[in-house]
Amino acid sequence: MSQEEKLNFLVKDKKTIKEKKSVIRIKGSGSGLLITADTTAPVANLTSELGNRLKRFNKLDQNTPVTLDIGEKNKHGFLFKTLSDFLKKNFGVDVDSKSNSRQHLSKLEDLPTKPPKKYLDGNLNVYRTNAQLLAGRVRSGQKINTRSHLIILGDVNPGAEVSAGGDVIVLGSLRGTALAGQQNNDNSVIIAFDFRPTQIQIAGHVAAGQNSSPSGCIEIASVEPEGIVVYSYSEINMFNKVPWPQMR
Amino acid sequence: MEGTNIVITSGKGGVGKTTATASIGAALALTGKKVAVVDMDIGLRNLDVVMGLENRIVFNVIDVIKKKCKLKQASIRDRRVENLYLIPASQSDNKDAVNTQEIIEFAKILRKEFDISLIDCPAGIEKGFENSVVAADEAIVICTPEVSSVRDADRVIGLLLARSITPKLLINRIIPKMVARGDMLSHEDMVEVLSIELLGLVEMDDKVVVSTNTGVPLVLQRNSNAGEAFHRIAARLNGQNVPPIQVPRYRRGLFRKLRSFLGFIG
Repeated sequence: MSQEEKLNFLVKDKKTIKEKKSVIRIKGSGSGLLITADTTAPVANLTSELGNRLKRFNKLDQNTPVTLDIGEKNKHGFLFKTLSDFLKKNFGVDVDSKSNSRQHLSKLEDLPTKPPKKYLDGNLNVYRTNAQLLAGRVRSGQKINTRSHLIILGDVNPGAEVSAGGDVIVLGSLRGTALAGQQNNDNSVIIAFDFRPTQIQIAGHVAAGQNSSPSGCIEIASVEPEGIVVYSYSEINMFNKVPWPQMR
Repeated sequence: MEGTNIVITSGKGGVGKTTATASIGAALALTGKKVAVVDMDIGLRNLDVVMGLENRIVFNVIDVIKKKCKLKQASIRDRRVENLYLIPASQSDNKDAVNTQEIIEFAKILRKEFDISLIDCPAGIEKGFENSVVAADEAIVICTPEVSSVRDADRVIGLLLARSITPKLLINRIIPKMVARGDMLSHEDMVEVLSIELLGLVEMDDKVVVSTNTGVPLVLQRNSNAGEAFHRIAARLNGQNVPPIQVPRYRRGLFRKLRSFLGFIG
């Protein structure tokens, strides 16, 4: 069993333990709530648990965006309808569904065809950011570690290491080691104006840098089935396929 | 007026810290400043050998720091260069022999006694480096055009900046022929990576070896490109009559041959 598999195994184990405790999990996400429901539990159980848990949120606003995560919506259409009706009726919230598998940006067919309600007026107001913005040169021996996205206004020298839970964006020369999507986020990318890293890692994938002269264009590294691939940012146009602005 | 303590460091060993310390010290002394060169490479002293003063050592820097003798007793006056003094390292002690507080005291005495004190730092970033840097007001980082040296210099610059000392860069051992061929890092590339103020460029010079072996200061030797470069660096450090940084250029053999041939005909 490789290290990565072991890690996956551990994570799975943890999930099952948690879910045993309760059939409903509630998490804050942005300005709303993310509710995860155990689809194997009886519906009556789920609704009563939901009701009990949400009663404590006595200041729940009308139209609070709530995302309901019940695995695949198509499979559990009835369950979704029951739960969302229950939530709308009792708490007057705005319910949306979420699939368990994360969407890969480069796969156009996976993208939802209808934008979420909050984008419908064409304006997107973001009050909180999930990115760490740093200015300055990262020198040899220095290490930067963040659980969010990482944006560096400056260069990353050889011998330096930058690591992020999400994407790594270097507005300058990347010559050190860059780690994106730590620990397990395959969707992360690494972008640099001058892409000459010693090594890059995205989630569990590792790629060694080549001693090459600057290509003169912005480059982007992402995980494809065959491993980490580096594209010219303007040629691949990866994010132009996204139909409306989305939070990463 | 209080003097300045300048540490000369590099991280990597063998890039010319000791030679540079001796040469810049001599060049500065020739401009009329009272200069001390302090060997902080405790346990591995060799600045005295480079300066040809090893047979005159009685007291060393540890004796001064431990207050076993006065600074004047330990400073050895160079007979060829006026105003140049050497404070040698101890050969028998260990780098742990002194603590930070004692060094800070010692640095104060140095500032009182000398206009400029150049501190020769040992290689590495351990205790010896800490001890040398604690005494310093300014720093010069020596780097050769090699990837390994640039990497270490980068680390050292990071450590110095963390101590709010902004170092200056001296690039040593440039071989213009190899740079012209593209086989050696150019100083532009190095400055781009290290991004600190460039103090000077010194090219590879056989006379350095001669000077080190004979103990005659490089800056007193004639026709030495490296010696002249160190003169200019000293002037720049002094802040007076600053000549622009000269990039060592490789003169093509064919062109020179052609020129001498034409000169022969003409």
